[in-house]
Amino acid sequence: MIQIRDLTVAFSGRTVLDHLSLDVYEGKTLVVLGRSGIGKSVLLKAVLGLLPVQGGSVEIDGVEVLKASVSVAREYRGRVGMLLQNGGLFDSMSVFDNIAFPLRYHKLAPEAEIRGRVEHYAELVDLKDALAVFPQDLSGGMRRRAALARAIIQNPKYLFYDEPSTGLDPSTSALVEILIRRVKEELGITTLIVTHDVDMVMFLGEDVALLSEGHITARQDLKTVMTPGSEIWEQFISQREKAHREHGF
Amino acid sequence: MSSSPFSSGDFLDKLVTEIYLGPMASEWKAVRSTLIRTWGDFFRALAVGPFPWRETGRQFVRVINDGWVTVVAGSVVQGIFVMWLAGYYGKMFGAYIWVGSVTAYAVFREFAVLMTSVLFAGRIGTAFTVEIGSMQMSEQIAAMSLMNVDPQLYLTVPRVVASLIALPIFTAFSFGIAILSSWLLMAFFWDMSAQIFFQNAFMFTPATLLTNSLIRAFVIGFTVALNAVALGFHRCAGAEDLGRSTTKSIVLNLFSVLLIDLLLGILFTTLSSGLRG
Ligand SMILES: Nc1ncnc2c1ncn2[C@@H]1O[C@H](COP(=O)(O)OP(=O)(O)OP(=O)(O)O)[C@@H](O)[C@H]1O
Ligand SMILES: [Mg+2]
Repeated sequence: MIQIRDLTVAFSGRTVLDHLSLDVYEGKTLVVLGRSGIGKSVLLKAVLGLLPVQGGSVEIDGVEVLKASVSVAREYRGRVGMLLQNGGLFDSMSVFDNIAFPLRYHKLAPEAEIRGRVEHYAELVDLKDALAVFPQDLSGGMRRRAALARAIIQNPKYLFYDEPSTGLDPSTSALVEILIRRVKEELGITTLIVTHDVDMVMFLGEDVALLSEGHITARQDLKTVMTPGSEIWEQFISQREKAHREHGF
Repeated sequence: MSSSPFSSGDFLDKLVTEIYLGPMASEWKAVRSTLIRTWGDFFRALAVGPFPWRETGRQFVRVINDGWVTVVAGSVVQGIFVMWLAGYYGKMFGAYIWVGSVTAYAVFREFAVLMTSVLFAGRIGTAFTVEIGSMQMSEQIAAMSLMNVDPQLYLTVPRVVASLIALPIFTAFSFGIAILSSWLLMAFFWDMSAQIFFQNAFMFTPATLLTNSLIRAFVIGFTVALNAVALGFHRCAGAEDLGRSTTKSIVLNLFSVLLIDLLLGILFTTLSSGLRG
């Protein structure tokens, strides 16, 4: 379980996350909804130690990682994989080398075994034919799948997705959703998705939380969320119609 | 804000704020902390290790590959330049036999290291900044940290170490090429004989002159590379930010080159011969 308490992140005086608390339960898929620029990426990056944090605590499987020693924090954060918003694929390497990178760099397996594992995960994300291609020659959806394969090759217990459907057309985005579900079910990975994509909530969400003004303002299960009149429905999902109405359409 | 860049007030304003007051302007405050952090990170990464031999080797080959054409071209220009000063005036004032000495002294003492460093800052330094900056923008650096790969160890250390070895090598190349091209042109235009030229060339150039220049190149290579990489790590949220970081990188590095060259040059001269010169 990942337990976030009072997480506060500010950049040169501007507070982005303000005493945010959130629990991620094992085996479930939690979707955090939030508008653009509200701090969704910052939340994931702060938990994983990619950004300096002003206060609060993050416990991964019972161990506080923000104040832990570098090696302890590294070990526990190592249980969490993340699909970055832009994928973060190394453009100097082929897809194969990208996926193999963590195994090779840390010498986790002999080369023959690495080949097998890369092919296995490439198969899982339907990317087996593109292993020799370089990231800049991939489409947005393929790039995301390659990054996903790289994120799961070290068998993480938790997986964070940062807006996995942004910038994809509806059918590609649906494929990514299916993939996320497949990864979760086949590998038993606890999943945390941050997005502003309501479709994703409907297909994947078991728990839904709303991020607004620096903290989680509501958390409900999917069924409740999808009932018009529920808190998250009112605060987020119906906003589109409301905006239309307010502007006279 | 629609005035032409050539309207004089605007131009002066830009010149003063960006070039002269630049280091004091508020934008530089953030840059300064990025610089300090990256310098610290470099030594920390070096101390913690393990030393990235493979990447350093790769970067070394890449720096040499990318830089040598620029250095050769720069050295030839340098040779012509020195030939003009030493050869033309030497001939004019009948100091024909001293031409070799003056040429060698100017090249070994100052021109080779200065010219090579400036070209290095432009050709290699800016490439470092853009490369790391765009890796940052596309979250490649975040991806590295996520995979427990220290970006300082994987990106910074190899580039800096490769540069501090490569710049002295480039400088040594520059010594040879500049002197040679200088003589070739003098031989062609003024029938300068090889014997007179080279005999005199090495008469007044002690070996310390060479080592001093090479040490300066070493320090400059280190500083320029580390500054350039640091500016790549400076937060950039888009192409415009990256452009700004790159401009800062080259401005900062050109100043660094001039300053280090000047200060170390004075220091070495003072140490080796006292202030008498
Ligand atoms: N390293 C940083 N330094 C300074 N400000 C930052 C940094 N990272 C993010 N921010 C700021 O924090 C705010 C939240 O950014 P974040 O990227 O988390 O938004 P988001 O919710 O992920 O939005 P999007 O849907 O556009 O991805 C933004 O205003 C951004 O400018
Ligand atoms: Mg984001």
